Amino acid sequence: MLFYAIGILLLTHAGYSAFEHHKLASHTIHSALPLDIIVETIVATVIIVFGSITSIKNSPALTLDNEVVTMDSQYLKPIRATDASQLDQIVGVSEYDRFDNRIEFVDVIAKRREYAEWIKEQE
Amino acid sequence: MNTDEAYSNANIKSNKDKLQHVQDITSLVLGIASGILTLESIHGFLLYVIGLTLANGLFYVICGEGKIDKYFKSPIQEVFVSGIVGNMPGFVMMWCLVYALVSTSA
Repeated sequence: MLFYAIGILLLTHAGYSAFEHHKLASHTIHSALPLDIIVETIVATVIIVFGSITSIKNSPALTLDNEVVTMDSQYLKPIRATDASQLDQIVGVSEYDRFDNRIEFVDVIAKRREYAEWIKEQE
Repeated sequence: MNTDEAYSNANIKSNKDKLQHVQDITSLVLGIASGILTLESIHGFLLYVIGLTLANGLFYVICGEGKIDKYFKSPIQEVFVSGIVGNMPGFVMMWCLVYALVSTSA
């Protein structure tokens, strides 16, 4: 995010400088773009590209025991099935748990009511 | 081709999306850059091809972590070749827009 902010700031500045230069050049002699604008544009481009690459990092996963595990590969995910299932094995879920459990469809209010009744029974 | 070469489709798609994200941003920024530099005709497209290839090289080195075969089925073709044509319209759009903004006469 910081890379994007710096890069966009530099690009805007370079763009405005180029605009001013052309405006001035149209009244006087026409000259080529100054070197510092060119350098600023290239630096801004490199910063934004670098920022976009660092922004695709894998997010760490949380195991059932509340431990944070990170994958071996920092940016991309391995495509071979044997490698791809390793993280699931560490975390303790299978690839189909997302379909089996359907967290989005769980009725939380009903579950809480059930839990509250269970607590009452325990007392 | 042996039998244990099964692939995870979700991860293939995730990797392609990430590459596409990098190429989207790169092509738009290169469009802005060539607009600011007021490049014309073949020079702009040269900047695009060279810039995108450099960015892909950066992706190949940093994100591939030296074992790019693990993440793409055919790495060179997928990283360096397949994105060049598809991202060109975005580049041309930003190029035209910024060129028109920067080089206003009088």
